[in-house]
Parts: sequence; structure tokens; C-alpha cells
Amino acid sequence: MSIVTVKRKVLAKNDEIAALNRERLARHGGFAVNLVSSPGSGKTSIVERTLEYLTGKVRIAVIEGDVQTDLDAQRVARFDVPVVQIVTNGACHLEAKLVQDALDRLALDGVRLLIIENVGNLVCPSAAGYSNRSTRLLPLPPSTERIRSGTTTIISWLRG
Amino acid sequence: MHELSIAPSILDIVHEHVPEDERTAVRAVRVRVGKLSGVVPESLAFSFTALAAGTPLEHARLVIEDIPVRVHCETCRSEFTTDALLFLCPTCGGAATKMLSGNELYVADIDLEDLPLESP
Repeated sequence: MSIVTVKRKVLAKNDEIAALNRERLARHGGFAVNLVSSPGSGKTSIVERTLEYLTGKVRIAVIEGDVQTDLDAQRVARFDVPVVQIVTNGACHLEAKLVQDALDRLALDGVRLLIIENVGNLVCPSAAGYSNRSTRLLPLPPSTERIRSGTTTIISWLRG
Repeated sequence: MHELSIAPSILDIVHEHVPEDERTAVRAVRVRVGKLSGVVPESLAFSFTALAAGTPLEHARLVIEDIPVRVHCETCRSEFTTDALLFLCPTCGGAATKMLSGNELYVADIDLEDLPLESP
């Protein structure tokens, strides 16, 4: 029996693509936020509040992740910002490659803020790194206060 | 579902390290999985076997080794292993802790059966 020593992170490829995604956005002077939480905790509401506040002030693009529908993208499209819906057909989180493909479909010129709304799930999306910052909401029902604080967090990151 | 999307990355790593004509000799792929990596070992092994079936890697077994969760206590500087999700130091009760290991997920090595030497 011979043994080949490998010692390689299983998700190394995902990490490489994630780094490329971050670089690509940085070249455009942009900043990515990854919204991670369980279903029904207020992720899309935070996206809407952020867009309400920032539309017309900064260019924003949105990537929506969902296992089945494009309902979130429809909510976001009301704000007249570029939005791409990724339907994962059951997969539980967005992989870096999916985000890369979505970036190909977005006009990134001048985009200052990219919001990635992950699939509603607090388990595996928390481990994936494909943005500059991640917000992790506690899996509680959304309240006005929580949505407000999530929105102000994103805005404060944007201001650096 | 999660494991079914991780298993292809393991197969890719094996493909990168073992030339095509040697893949039928692969008997085991050893993967180290941290207890907090969010991966269910049985499900990962199942996904691997399902994807390897009908390929030169179909005789390969995925051997999964658990990596326990080791935690460092910043208060009394001791180290402990835990299965609890709340890291409380068993020595001093401190909650200021840092995880040292337990969220790894990597391919450690690959076992190949020695192929008979080709006759000259």
C-alpha cells in the first residue's frame, strides 16, 4: 500500500473563487455584504430598508439566493437596482461559484455596495466566506428594531 | 444536500493528486472532519460513494476521522475538549474562550494499492 499525502482543504477551491470575487469587486471600488440567517428572520426586509435609504445616493447591486423562488428578487426589483436571483434548487447555501456566475450577469461599474442575500439557513452559509463582511442575524422573528439595526450596521460598514 | 455539494470537491482533489491510470488502485481517501464543521460524516461518505460509483474511483472508501473541538480558556489559560456548543471552561468556569480546532475539513491522504510491476 502506498500513501499519497494530500493535506488539502476540501473547500479550498471555493475559497479561491471567493477571493477572486472579492478582488473583482474591489477593482470596481465596491464592498460586499453577505446576509446570513434562518428563514423569516428579516434578511429581505433589511435589504429593502437599506435600498430605501441608499437609493439615489450610492450605486447598489443585489444578489438574491433562494432554494426555490424569485420572490425576493421581485421585492428588490421595485427599487430599480440591478438584481440577480440565484435559485439553488434545494442546495442549502450559495457557493462562491454561484456568486461568481451571478457577478458575470451584473453590471458592476460604479457599484459601491453589493448585497448578497444568502439562502435562509443559519448552518452552512455562516461558514462560507465570499464577501467583505457578513451579518448574522439571530434566528428570531423580525422586529422593526432588528431590521433598523441591521440596516444601520450595513450603512456604517459602507462608510468604513 | 450540503454533503452532496462537498463530495465533488473531494473527488476533484483526488483527481488532482492521482494520475488517471492509477485511480483504480485508490482504496481509501482519508478526510479529517472537525466536529463543528457542519458536515455529517455518514452523509458525506454516502455522497462520495454515490458519486464515485461507475468511475475508476469506485473501489475507494471515504475514511472519515473526527477532529474533536479543542478550546483555550483565556482566563485560566487551560485547554479542554468539549462536545457542548457553549464553551465554558471546566476548570474555572470562564466564558472567555477561543476555539483551537474543530471546524476543519480537509483531505489528509490517499491510500493506493500497489499495482503489480509491469513486465518488461
